[in-house]
Amino acid sequence: MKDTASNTIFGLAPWKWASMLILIYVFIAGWLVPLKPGIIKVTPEKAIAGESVVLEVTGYNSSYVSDTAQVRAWLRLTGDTVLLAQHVQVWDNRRLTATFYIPSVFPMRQEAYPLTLILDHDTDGTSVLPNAVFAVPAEIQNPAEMSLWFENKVERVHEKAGIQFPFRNILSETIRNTYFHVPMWFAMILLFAVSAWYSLRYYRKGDIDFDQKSVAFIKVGLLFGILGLVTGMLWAKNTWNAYWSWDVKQNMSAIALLIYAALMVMRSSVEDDMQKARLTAGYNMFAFALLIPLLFIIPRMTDSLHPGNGGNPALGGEDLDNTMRMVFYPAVIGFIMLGIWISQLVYRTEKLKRKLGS
Amino acid sequence: MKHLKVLFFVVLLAVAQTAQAEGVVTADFMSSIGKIYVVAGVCLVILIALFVYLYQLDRKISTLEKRFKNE
Amino acid sequence: MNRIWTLVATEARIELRERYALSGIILYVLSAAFIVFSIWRQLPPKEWGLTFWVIFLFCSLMAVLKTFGRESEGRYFYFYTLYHPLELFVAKALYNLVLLLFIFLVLWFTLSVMAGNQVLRFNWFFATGLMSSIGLSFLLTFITSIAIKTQQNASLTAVMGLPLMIPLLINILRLTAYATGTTPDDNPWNEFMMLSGIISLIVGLSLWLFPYLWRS
Repeated sequence: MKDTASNTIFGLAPWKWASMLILIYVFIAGWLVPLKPGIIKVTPEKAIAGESVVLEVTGYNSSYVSDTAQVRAWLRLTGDTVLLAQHVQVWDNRRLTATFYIPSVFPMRQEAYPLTLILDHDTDGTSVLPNAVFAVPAEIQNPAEMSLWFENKVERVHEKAGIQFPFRNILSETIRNTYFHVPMWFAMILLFAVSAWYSLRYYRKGDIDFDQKSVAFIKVGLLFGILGLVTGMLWAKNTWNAYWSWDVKQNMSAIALLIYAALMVMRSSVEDDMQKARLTAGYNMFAFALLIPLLFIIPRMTDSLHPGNGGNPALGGEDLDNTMRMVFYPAVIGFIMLGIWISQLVYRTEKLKRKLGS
Repeated sequence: MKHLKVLFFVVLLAVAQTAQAEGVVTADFMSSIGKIYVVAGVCLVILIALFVYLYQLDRKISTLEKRFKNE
Repeated sequence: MNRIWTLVATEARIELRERYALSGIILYVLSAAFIVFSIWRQLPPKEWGLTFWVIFLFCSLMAVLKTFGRESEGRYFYFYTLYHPLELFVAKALYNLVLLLFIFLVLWFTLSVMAGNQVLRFNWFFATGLMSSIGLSFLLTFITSIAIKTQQNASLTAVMGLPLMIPLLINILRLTAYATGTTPDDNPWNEFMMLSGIISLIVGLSLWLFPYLWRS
């Protein structure tokens, strides 16, 4: 834990410099890498089957003008049942209208048919808006129109080149929060784990130093936990529409914070130092062991809005592509290192205080 | 314990401020430009909280230094 | 083992001698159930289960709180020299287990009388009650043993214990939903295994850590 003169750069351990550099990289890359083009809005939301519909599409980061003649649009019902737009008119870089004829019969029977809009052209590549339009069944059905569903396929699509973050419909730019909000939780859990580890060492050796270390890590872990909660609430308000939606993961994290806040309260109400250290070590190990099923097993058994719940893998799949990984992993490592750094400062301050006091 | 409380309060205040700003300015502010201000808010909250925490820590060390000089 | 039983028996004898303690708990259960029921009036099965466990949780907190409070300082010292801390802990936890089971049955009876018995699968509900009594008695006995060493015993037990109960409570509520038939889920064994896993974790940890925390 101590910096010796031999392995420091300008008097600071190399890994601290590394954490700064990594976080600077994360902030720059996290903010400056653009988002892939996407579709924000489609009007009207409802279409009547058996009629033509003119969809007004609003794009994001898009450049429709550069391929005015080549923009193709599809409405997809499922898999291979797609409709090709009869006509696509580009107005400017962010607006176009696509004219579709929706057949009066559908391959399956439902109350309403959600249709996914797919756009493709050379410059922007493919962009998708799930459930862009809901088709309402027609009154008069013409079975001959069934073949319209199978005439076209989504084919010869373009891949957008370059380093860009994926565009997700509700998230849009807030996908960048992955690099700022999510590492808070990773840092919190790791700091609590380190603290439990020091408690275990206190349990074995009885050295008051380990107690001080474990408390420092708990304090900074609490800081990161509160930050994770607050930033999560801010993010949730603007994507899920509520600060608090009683989501499993939100609840579990709040409980984790309560547990450790209780530990701090307990510490402040004990006078004797040795007693305080022993109770802290015991409760800390007990709480951390119970935290593991709370944070890792129970959320996976419950449905949740969060990625990584209800059986979905947390990292990987749709939510995190390779470009995001290039920023996300450094972000996690950087924030964890920062957390350890701050915890060390807290510990060193407490140690000084103790030395002065005695 | 005291500085933890202060910190919590400050963070809470920050959130309340953002929440208010949202209500007062325009409902669309946070969701304009692809909701980029949400990311800005998150970064600001993190930075401000870390700075407030470091400020508290710095103050603590300063008082220790003073005591150290006196002894 | 014999020594533990003697301790449990002593514990029970003291409790029974001070009759107000036990009747106090029964009254607590009754009045809590009465208040909650008079607010709800009608309890559909789902709410019945939730209400049951909310009342049970607070009653158990209330009952376990005085586990270590009864003895005076001198008696502690006496216990400490006479018994191994583990014996002491197991005895207290077992006694609390019996107490919690008793509360469970009283509460079940009370709610059945007041709001009707909504339990369809008796065995499962009883098993849930038994498991939760085991888990809560060990957890709360452990937490009280920490809280007793601080200045604000009662509030700290609640503050430290309640958040730690949540993993137990989540699984208990799921099993209760199965027992009352309010979930489409047909296989409760998953939750049951999970619950027993958490309980064994609690029992193991508290047995490991209690002797360490007890000496002072």
